[in-house]
Amino acid sequence: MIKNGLVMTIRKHYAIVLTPANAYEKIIKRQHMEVGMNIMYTSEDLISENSIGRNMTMTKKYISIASIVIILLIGGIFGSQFIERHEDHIISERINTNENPLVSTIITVDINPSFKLELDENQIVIGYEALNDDATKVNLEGILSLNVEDAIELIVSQAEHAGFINIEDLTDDYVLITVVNLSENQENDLQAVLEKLEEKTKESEALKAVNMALIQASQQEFDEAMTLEVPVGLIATGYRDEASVKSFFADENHAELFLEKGSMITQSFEYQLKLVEKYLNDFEDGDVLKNQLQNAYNVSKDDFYKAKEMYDYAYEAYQLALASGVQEDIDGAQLRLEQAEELKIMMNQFENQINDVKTVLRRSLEGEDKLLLEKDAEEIRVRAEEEAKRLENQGEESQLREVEQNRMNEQNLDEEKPREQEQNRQEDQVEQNSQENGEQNGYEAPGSEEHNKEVQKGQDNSGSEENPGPSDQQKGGTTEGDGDGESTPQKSGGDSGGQSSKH
Amino acid sequence: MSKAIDELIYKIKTNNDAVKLNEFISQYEPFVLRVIIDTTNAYVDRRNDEIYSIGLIAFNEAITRYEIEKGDFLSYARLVISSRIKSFKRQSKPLELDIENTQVYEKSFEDQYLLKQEIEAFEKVLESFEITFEDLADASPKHEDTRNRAKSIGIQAAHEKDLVKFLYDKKRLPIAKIAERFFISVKIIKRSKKLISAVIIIIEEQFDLLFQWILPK
Repeated sequence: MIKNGLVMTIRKHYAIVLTPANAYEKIIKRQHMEVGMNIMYTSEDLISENSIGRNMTMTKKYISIASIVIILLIGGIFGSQFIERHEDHIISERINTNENPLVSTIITVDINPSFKLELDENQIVIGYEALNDDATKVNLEGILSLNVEDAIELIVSQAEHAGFINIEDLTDDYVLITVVNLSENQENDLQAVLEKLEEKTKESEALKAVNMALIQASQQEFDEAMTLEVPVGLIATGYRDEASVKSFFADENHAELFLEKGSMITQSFEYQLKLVEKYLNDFEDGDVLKNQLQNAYNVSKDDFYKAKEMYDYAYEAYQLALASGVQEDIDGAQLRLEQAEELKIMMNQFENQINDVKTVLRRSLEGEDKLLLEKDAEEIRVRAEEEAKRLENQGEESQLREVEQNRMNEQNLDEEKPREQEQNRQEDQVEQNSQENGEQNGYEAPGSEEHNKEVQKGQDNSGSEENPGPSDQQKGGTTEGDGDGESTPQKSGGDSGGQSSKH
Repeated sequence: MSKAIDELIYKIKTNNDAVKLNEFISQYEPFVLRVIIDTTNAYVDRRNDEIYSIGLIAFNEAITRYEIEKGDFLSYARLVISSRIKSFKRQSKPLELDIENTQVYEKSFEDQYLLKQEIEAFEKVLESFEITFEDLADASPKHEDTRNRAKSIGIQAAHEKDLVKFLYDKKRLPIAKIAERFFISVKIIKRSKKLISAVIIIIEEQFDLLFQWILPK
């Protein structure tokens, strides 16, 4: 039959036409062809990829076929020799797939290269597989029999080695780890992996530099992911159209959504600081942008650590109070800890500011307009200073609250004094009476002495706590001047100490 | 086979059956085209299909002049058509400017030129989606049904703003969304994904001439 084709392109040895039925066909290139021409042709003009060669004679065809077969045979013989030597780069090395009873958990690791790991009940790797082309380029020699956290570290460092992640640049790298449900209690597995990774990250340079996102997925989601060639973890979040982990997490909304179903171990803060510092140093001194960013960075970094200290102390005080067993102290410390939660929020703010600085740095590397960047940097700097002020006020506030608390305690004590005296008098009265009555009453007025003892202990406790850290918080009235010698576990200014920072 | 044709022709001629004659010629149009293409090593330009008419006339002539003694009909017809074509080509070598037909001629040139513009622009856009015409040729399914499917999916999807936006932003087809919205299986979409994307692009970029070309008739 006669076909109509619209010439789309003319290459060296063929042309491609578009039929009215929306099919693109490769046809023999002939004379006088032009793009845009509407031509008549038949199926005999089609070039099929599979044909050996339409213009070859039959004998030539047979010879080609024969030679190909021979080459294949020879290749096959040699090929089998190669397979053993390149064992390490085999796409899959496993004992068995899902039928293997030893496999207790299946995990996929998606960066951009995607891998599947099979773990036994002790979460040791007993099988692995490359799930895409890029993954085959990553050398995972030695991954078998590693603990899951060590295996993931290996994948991350090897992927970096192969060039798929660059931890030195300012773009965040994400590693998506998905636990696929093989049985009922797979949530424990995810929790276990999460905890192991958290521990491992503390000592692993490779893991510190990346963000690890963990989520659970069902068997169906796994199958769907394999079909669509989309990372399982993204399917589990509900995103079927995104094939790239990187671009998925580049969108902040996505990251938030992800956290609803999964967990994240973010790039270590220290590492972020390192990166930012390194890039700031690359600027020339006196560069306006650099100064703004440096300012914002310094302020945010200091504030972060300040807030962290304050929080840590409140936490420690709480622990100590718990240990003492004195209810009042416990309550007090707990209250202060709850107040300190605000500090945690502020720490988050400061982290965000550092992140903002990082973003501006990245944009400047990408060549964005300097003026625009300077404007943004200024905003960040101003914000950082505002937050710093807030932190100081927070410190003040909590100190004021301390003062209040103490004053109230004192008041109670004062109130109790006259009552005590009353009680004592009454006791004496009773004693006298009893003595007169000939009774020996070893019984003492309820709680009075005990009460005194407690108060004493309380005082001693707070007295024994050293006042920690840098003395730059010379705000608010300290209670040092009081004769009661009550001091607070939180930072108050001007004390001796110099207890070493924990960081 | 040729025996049958020979007999058929004989019958037509003796019966002077005009209807059957036309039927016969229609049936063998592809054959005529084949001869023309083989003879000139060029395809027939629909906008300039004079040579095709010549071929048909020659074919008719061959039927008229055919006799069993001349041998196998199709071989004879091929000879006649071929020689007629060759002489036609020799004749029109010196460019004859036919004033009456110039405007028609120019118009068809203009059309082709416009189409060429569109196609070249199309190729550029496809490039940004990392699609080549070769990809589309490889992806073009042999089955007509599947092809039509791809076309209609593309046309439908092109009307949904969010789907188009997705395609342009991510340079990938929102396969899952399309599957959901139009009740089509993911496998089918996946197989023709580049083709579908191409259709959406044609519509979105307003390549009207191209769109006219593939419009369902």
